Amino acid sequence: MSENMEEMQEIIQDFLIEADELLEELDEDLVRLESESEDEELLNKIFRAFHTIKGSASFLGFEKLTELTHKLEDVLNRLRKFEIKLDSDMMDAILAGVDKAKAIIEAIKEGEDPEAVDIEDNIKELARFLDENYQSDTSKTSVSEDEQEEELTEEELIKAQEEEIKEEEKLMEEQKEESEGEKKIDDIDAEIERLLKQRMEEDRKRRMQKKLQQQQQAAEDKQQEEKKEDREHKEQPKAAAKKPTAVAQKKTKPLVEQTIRVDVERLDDLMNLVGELVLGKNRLVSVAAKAEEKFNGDEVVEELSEVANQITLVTTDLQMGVMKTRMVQIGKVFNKFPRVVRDISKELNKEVELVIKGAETELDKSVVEEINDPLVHIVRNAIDHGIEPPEEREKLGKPRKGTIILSAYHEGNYIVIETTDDGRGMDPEKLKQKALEKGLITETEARQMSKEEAYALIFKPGFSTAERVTNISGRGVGMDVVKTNVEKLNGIIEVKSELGKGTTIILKIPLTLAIIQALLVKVTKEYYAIPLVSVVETVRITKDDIDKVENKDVLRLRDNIIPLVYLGDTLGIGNNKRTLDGKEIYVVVVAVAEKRIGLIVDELIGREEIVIKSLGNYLTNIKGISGATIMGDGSVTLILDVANVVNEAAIISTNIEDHLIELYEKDKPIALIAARKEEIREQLAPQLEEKGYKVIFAHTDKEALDVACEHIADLVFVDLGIYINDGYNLAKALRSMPAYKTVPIIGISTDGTFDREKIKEARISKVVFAPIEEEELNQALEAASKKNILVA
Amino acid sequence: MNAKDVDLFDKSLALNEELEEELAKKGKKTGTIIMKDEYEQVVGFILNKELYGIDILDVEEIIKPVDYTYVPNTRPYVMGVINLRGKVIPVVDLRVKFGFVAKPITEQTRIVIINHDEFNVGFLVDKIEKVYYVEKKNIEPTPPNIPANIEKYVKGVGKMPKKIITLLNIEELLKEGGSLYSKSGSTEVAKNE
Repeated sequence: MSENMEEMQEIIQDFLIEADELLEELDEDLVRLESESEDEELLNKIFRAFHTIKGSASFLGFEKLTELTHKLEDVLNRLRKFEIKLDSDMMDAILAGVDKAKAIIEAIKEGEDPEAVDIEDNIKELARFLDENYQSDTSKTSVSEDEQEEELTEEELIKAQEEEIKEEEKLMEEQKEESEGEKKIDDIDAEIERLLKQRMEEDRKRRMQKKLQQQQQAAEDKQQEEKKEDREHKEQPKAAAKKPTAVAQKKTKPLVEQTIRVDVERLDDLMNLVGELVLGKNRLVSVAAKAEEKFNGDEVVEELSEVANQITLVTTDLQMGVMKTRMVQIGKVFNKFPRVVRDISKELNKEVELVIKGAETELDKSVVEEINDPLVHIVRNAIDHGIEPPEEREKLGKPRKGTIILSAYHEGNYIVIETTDDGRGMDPEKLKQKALEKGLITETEARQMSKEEAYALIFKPGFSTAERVTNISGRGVGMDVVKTNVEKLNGIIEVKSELGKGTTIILKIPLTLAIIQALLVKVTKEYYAIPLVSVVETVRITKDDIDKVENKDVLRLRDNIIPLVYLGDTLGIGNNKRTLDGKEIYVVVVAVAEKRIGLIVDELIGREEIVIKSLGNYLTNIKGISGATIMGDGSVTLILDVANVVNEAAIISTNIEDHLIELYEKDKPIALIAARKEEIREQLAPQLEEKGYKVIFAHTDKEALDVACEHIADLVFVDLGIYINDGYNLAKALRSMPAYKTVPIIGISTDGTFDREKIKEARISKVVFAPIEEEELNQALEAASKKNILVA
Repeated sequence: MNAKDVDLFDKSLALNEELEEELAKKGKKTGTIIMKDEYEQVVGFILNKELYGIDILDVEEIIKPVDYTYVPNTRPYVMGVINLRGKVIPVVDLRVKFGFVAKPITEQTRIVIINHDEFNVGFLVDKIEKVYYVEKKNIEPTPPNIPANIEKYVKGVGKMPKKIITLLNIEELLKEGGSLYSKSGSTEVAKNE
């Protein structure tokens, strides 16, 4: 019993998925039908879609859905027999019917009662077109035939479907004859015909197995074959003729479906595992590199490098493979738009043609789900604010019908989605005026704004240029929703516009969200990963390149004024940190949604593929940080939440001079003692103070680096055994900072040992042994002050 | 007595001479069978010279300090995050959390990795003592002399023959989270000198 239940559940699941697919296609096909109402192929396709849903629905006992699709099917039947002609009213009724069918499907999915959906109005509306008055000759046949189907037993249903097949065969036969009139079937066609027959035979056999799933499959196969068949016939005579628009372009599925459905969760798991693998690979590569450095020429090392290379290749392929299984065509989103455009333009009395390009462009499933809403907003806006009413367009010498182009293409690791309209375009001055009126910006801000910045005003919450509140624009939601959604995806928005010619909104979104390319940077002593998709460019400037506007640092980069902030300041770790020498300042220009800023960092480390990991439940909502990743050496690097950093940057202001070493004034030379043991400090401090030094302490290496950024020391003592890393590493880290390139660093050995190699590597000036005698200290100071890097 | 209800102490783990003493005092022979559910097993550690305990079931492991990464915009007691075999785990300095003076890391410093519910956090402590068996009937509610800023994290005080141990309430410790802007919005920030 329970097995049956399970099977039933599965059948319903399959039905839902198929119905979803069919309804989605229907939306598109119906809108197309409006302009090509004579297209028999299309009519048949739509008819069949309704028929398929009806058949399955009746089998599964969804009465309302059966009744509704039955009526829709009847209307289509009359249409395809050319007994009635399609008009706008009829189309509205059909579309409303499709919407109701969707609602019923949704109810089934949600576990609600599908029979509770009210379809009375739709039925009445549709019945109008079946009325005698609406027709010339009788169509009793189809009605009575379909009525029979209403209360079908399973066997009858099967029979009925066989009828249907025969009918369709006949139909095909007709079509064949038609085309034969023009052209004899060639060998290929004959072969296809043969295969088709064979296939149908199989179908029929399978049908007997009383499995609905198979019935559906067969219907689908049939449909596809037929479609293909039709194409073959149609396209051969006019092979040169291109498809009219991209909308008409339809992917042809293979004859036999060679796919399986996989639970998304399983794919997510797989993706996570690949993530771990990438981390392991990174680590292996870094170990191999280290080994090579250390034991150059060793056979084993060479073999290790080889293995590392191979693993890198395999991992990359595997990652691509797994990613590809999660890829879906953006057509899945785009296909909804003919309907959306139709509805909106109808409501606003505008004439709009939608052109879709690059519907086959693929992107990750998780991203697809997120971009639908932003796109609907953008398209709505384009029609509402962009496209002029037909009369106005005519006056302007434009075609009555406005055009909206939706296009998608790949660019490196991103997908770019453009929405272009040929409407009014945007007037930067008007936008500023509006924003001023609403108090969103100040006069000065308005004056300083570039064209691009003015366009970006449309993304401010509460901004609307609509003169009157329409049904579409007046819902209190605007482009700020678009912005939030795109930010969430780490994407970028660009707006281009030309007054009177139209507007283009460009979305740039990462292809996937789990494994990303990132730019590693260093600020003070910390490393951060900036998602590469947010990075526009990196530039190296000097302190003379920095201008001031309203006491804020800005950089003039080509024609743009880019506000500058020190990354440490936005994260709250920059206070009093002096790490820049003013000769080489690195700026990472990042963009989030429509905003652009320049982040000043101490160092650019390089590009790396990183796996995003969460910081866990204890550290949720950390400002400026979106997650962490594990590097090849096992250390944890935080990933910047660029959107947050950019927003934060708007509030704070950086004074670059606060971070420059050169402009740092101190009244006494400073000595930094980084030692864990109290004795060392207690012993050294008085001696140094006597020599006129101001002495500062640090317990750990981390603390030492912090202090070293705050006060530029003139002399550093490093306990070689300091926790957590040893003193050698601390010295090495200090040497990498511009301020400490030549400062004497004296290593203290507490147990009489030291590592000559490491001392050389860390460029430690001198090594002394604790306890330090006065004389010894003097010697060390003298030696170190020669500014030569000495080896003890 | 059902065999299932009894549990022999693992001697190698329980090196607990005080318990032995206690048992001896009660006239029981050492190594006698005792009921497990009369005792609570806690990991004892030293913080600012005092003995604290955490339920052993909440402790995943104990590690030596490792290099950590500082996380900006976190409360002062969050030292940063570490990589524990591929997992990113925040480390909390319990000294700072309890308002004691921060002390440099020594050779005895350890991180107690807690795994409780969905939380994975490391607590930095001065020194690990050992696993104690605290008799449940000897656990008393928080005495009034415990400082207010620690009191809410205390589940009770366990009396042992020679020492007393302050048992920590893990849930309360984890509840606050480490973000400066976390949902609890609590303005309490542990004093850090």
